[in-house]
Amino acid sequence: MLVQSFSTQKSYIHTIDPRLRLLLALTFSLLCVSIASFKALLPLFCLALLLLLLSNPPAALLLKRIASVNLFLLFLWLFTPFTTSGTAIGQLGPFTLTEEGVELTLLVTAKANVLAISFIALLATIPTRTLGHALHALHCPSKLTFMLLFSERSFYLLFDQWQALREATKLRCFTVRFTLHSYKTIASLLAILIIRSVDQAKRSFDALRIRGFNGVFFSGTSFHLKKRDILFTLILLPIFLLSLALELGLTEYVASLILH
Amino acid sequence: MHIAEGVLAPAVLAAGAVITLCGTGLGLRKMDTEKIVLTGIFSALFFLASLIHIPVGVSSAHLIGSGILGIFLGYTAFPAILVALTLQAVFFQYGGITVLGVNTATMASSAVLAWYLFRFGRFLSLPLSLVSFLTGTAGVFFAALLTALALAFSEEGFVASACALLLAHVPIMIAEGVIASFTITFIARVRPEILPKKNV
Repeated sequence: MLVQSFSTQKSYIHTIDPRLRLLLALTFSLLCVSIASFKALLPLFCLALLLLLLSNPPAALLLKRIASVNLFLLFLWLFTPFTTSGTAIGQLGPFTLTEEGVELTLLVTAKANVLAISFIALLATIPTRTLGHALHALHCPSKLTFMLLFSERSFYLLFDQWQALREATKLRCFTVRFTLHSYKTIASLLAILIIRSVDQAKRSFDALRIRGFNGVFFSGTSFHLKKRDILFTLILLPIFLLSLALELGLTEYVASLILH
Repeated sequence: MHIAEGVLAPAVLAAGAVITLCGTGLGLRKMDTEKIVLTGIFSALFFLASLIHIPVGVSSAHLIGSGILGIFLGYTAFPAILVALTLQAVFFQYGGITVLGVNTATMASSAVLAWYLFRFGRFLSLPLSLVSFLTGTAGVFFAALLTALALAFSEEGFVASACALLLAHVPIMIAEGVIASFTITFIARVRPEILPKKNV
């Protein structure tokens, strides 16, 4: 199996309506990116962890994915704490470490991890094919949904072809090095794949056309909201609202009203 | 070239989403029934290219392929890249929902710019190997530049990271140019009819 997946596990989250998971993941992400304080992030962080526990992810794969997210953040850590203007709190050679810089990078790191965790729990648990049908049910353009499903299938076919081509070069003792010859070989394999793809597209289209394909995607899958879906939403929504209230400072306002 | 979620400012994310929406709308409109299938396969190819690693100096990089994709697809690169990045996000959790707009906008705009460059180069009757080298290089250059701009516009503190990102991509631009040049000249020898025609 080329792609290890979170979607083949069995858990509570996997039984929730995919359309709902899509919409909740979208709400979660939009809320999370617009937050600019740690205290507003806290409820979302706890919620993301809870969702992750409920989605029963394979531990090794989870660690791998979280590590790849943090690799990009590591890159930001190299520069941002030193290049943001603000109160100096340390000196590293010619570079000044600022409080604002550290705080900004820390917030970004926390947000990126919370978002990655929520994405894994809510969205990565949907198999691609189900995702296509769910997007269709949410009125995503028909051409795009068709392309998503078609592209996923083609990807596996192309990957097999690529493996076979690479195998053939390996049998001829080819190893990829930093030489023009290596580049030419890889480029030729890529060109073969492109040519085959164009031919494959033509054959696929002919096959579709004789079956009456006119570019419209019909889905045989229908989704129905169940009680557990509504319950799930009712648990998530108050946490979203709490986070929003904290971000907008509404909690302090209410507290001051009560105290006076 | 994948910006993780949660890094960029909401305004930049919104701008990226708007560009992607417009580009995808335009691309879908230009895509007739026959081209849906072709675009779907190219979208899968674009995804596959990102898994192919090539050595660049002492380090290694994965192919980006926005230049080559642009040559074949033009404006339909928008829906193709949107689909490919969605699959990448679902498969490998690269990127995420909110940053999908920005990532698609940077990659697809660079593919469209590369497409214009390729057509202009062919119009001037420059040698194909040179034009495709420039197209491949430009594909990565514009993608890196736009990504760096997205970072720089988000926070003043990210400007240095953005410059470093752009500099780090210079060797990759050249590598990608060489790959594009060999790929396109190979296709021109073996199957010239699938390349866009000259002077159109």
